[in-house]
Amino acid sequence: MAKKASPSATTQTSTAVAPKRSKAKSDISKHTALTSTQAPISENLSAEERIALLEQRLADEITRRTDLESRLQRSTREFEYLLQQRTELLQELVMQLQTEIGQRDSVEVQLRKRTDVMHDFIKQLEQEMEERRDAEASLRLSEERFRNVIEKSPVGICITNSESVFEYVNPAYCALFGYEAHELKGKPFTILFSKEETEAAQTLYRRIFEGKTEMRGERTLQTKQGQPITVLTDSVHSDSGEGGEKGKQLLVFVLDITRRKQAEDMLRRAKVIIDKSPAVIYQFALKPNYPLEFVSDNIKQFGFSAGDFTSGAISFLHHVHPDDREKVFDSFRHLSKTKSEHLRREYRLITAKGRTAWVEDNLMAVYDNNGTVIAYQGVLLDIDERRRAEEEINKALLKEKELIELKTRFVTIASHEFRTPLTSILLSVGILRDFGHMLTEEERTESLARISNGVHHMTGLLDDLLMFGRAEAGDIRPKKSPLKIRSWCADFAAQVQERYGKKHTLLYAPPTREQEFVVDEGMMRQILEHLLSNADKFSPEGAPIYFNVNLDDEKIIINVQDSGIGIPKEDLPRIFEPFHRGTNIGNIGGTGMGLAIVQKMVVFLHGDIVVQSDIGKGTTFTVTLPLTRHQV
Amino acid sequence: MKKILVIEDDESIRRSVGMMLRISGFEAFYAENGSIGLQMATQSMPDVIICDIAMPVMDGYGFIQELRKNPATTKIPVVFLTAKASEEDVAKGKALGANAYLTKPIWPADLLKIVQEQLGQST
Repeated sequence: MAKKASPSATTQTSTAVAPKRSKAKSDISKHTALTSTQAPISENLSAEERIALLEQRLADEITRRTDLESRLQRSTREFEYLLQQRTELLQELVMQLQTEIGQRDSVEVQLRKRTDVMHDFIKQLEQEMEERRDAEASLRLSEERFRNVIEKSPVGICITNSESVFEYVNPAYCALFGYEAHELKGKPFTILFSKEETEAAQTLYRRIFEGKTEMRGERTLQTKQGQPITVLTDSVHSDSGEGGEKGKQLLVFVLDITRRKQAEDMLRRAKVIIDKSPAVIYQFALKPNYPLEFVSDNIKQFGFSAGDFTSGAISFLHHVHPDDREKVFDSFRHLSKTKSEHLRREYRLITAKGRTAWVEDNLMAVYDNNGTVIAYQGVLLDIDERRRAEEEINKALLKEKELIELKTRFVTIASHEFRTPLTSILLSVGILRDFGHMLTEEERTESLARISNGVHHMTGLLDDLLMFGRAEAGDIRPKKSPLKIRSWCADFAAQVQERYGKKHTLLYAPPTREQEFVVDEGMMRQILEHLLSNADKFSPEGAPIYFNVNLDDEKIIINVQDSGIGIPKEDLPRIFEPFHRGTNIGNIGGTGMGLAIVQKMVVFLHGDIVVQSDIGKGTTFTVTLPLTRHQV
Repeated sequence: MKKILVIEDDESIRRSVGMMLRISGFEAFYAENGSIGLQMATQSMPDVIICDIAMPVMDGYGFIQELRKNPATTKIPVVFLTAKASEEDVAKGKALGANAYLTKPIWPADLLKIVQEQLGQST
């Protein structure tokens, strides 16, 4: 506290010193005044006077100087004293000052801190002000944009007040209904309704305005020209800021959906047509196994629902007949590879109930701008009935063709086979008629025998033809009678051997026991006659022919084996066709009816016939016939 | 006596034709197919040959082609007597060099007349 001397103390110290300083100053001034009164030495004085005067003046001066020096010494002491005093005071003051300075530094630090805080605050304030300016600018921009959006919006927007009067309409709204903005502003919105609907519209508006119902939905309004227009409307409640009922507004949005409605109507009608048409429309996705993305509801004609496929529950391709599945995959590959737009194919579909149905599929590939396939679409048509009809027609045509071929073969064969015995008859008749008188009795008998043989031969041919015709028509009546197989076969073998004469030896192997069965003897004979006749015809002279008969309790098994020319493999499937003759028979005669008749007879007797043949080695026919034991 | 060769696989027709020719004063001899007929024609040099077409071993077409190749027999008149009666058959037979083409059945007198024509004889 000593250092911090009060200002009043300092003032007292200064006052005490001041008188001393004023006295010294007065002494000096006095001395100075004496010196200054020295007037110049007059030139009228003599030298001695002048010297005396000078000496006087010098003595005075020395005295004055000595006085002055002593005064100066005093003053110097006083000054030094004062200086010391002052120095101490100054030191004290310096100390006080330093203390004050120290205190001031602390204050300054605090002040600086406060200033910094103030600066921060100001900076923050400036930042906030800048942000506010930005926000205001953004708000202005936003407002501008919003206005632009409203003004340029394709959606019709209007603001109506509590009285249903237009307060604002945007250009789209005007364009929608064919009005200018000024024609709508200030007018009630019922202007957009027909006269008949005005009242109801007003009521509706009131209810919407009061929030009792919603505007959202499709409505049919009318344009300035009175044309109906279908729009989608929605509204929100708004406030102009005026407050109260008057400030309440309705912001209404209107979108023209007339075209959309028309398109929807068209689609609806198209869907009805598609659903009622037999053509199924579908689209495959480009994913493994080609799942169906879309299929028309009329897929139900195959027992499926559209959802079965589009949900992935059922794979369409798994319902394509397994034999045709690759064909369908090939179609996709073909379209993709060839960049074709369309491909028609027919395949079989397995319906939900497992029925096989023929379908015609017109497949189209859908490409993007780069020419890449993005989907496959198609139209599926049930052609099962048509295909079956075609198959029936094809069968009928094939049958017709076969009949024509049969007829041609018959005419060709009959021509040759009938002409030969006829020639023999005609020659013999001619000889008897024209040369009879020149003939011996023996020659006459020979001619008559030839006539007789020719007639028999022709009768045999006719019998074969008639038998075949009856068999074809299923017009054969069985004539079953008991027959002792072993003895009958022995007799038959003897007759055949007699016909063969020396040309062939018939090696007959009889059944091991006698057994009586009920059979159609005539048919048995025809079967064996034809087989043994063929064996004779197609075997070289001298070659033996085997005729084996085996019996068991249920059937008779007959083998006829020759060592003839054999039957070519390509002919084997057709040897039982009427009039078909082996391609290797050359000019060996015959009608081609024998084996056809044999097969008919065997089938008629519920038996079967098997042929085994090697070209150049011979042929074996094995006939198996079921037998009915004779009940005595 | 003029020699007539009859080539025919059907024995009954062969014998009937032979009988008619013998009665009519010709020497008739026979073959049952074209191959045998060719040998007999070369050996016996007949004046006329009556030949069937559809026969085993060698048919009438093969026979006439071989006959015409041989300078010794090339000029022997050949009469086809056949059941092949279509226009194509007749045309083919004549194209191969047949002097006459007769279709079965035929009256013996008509056959005799054709044979005599081939021999340059008149009835």
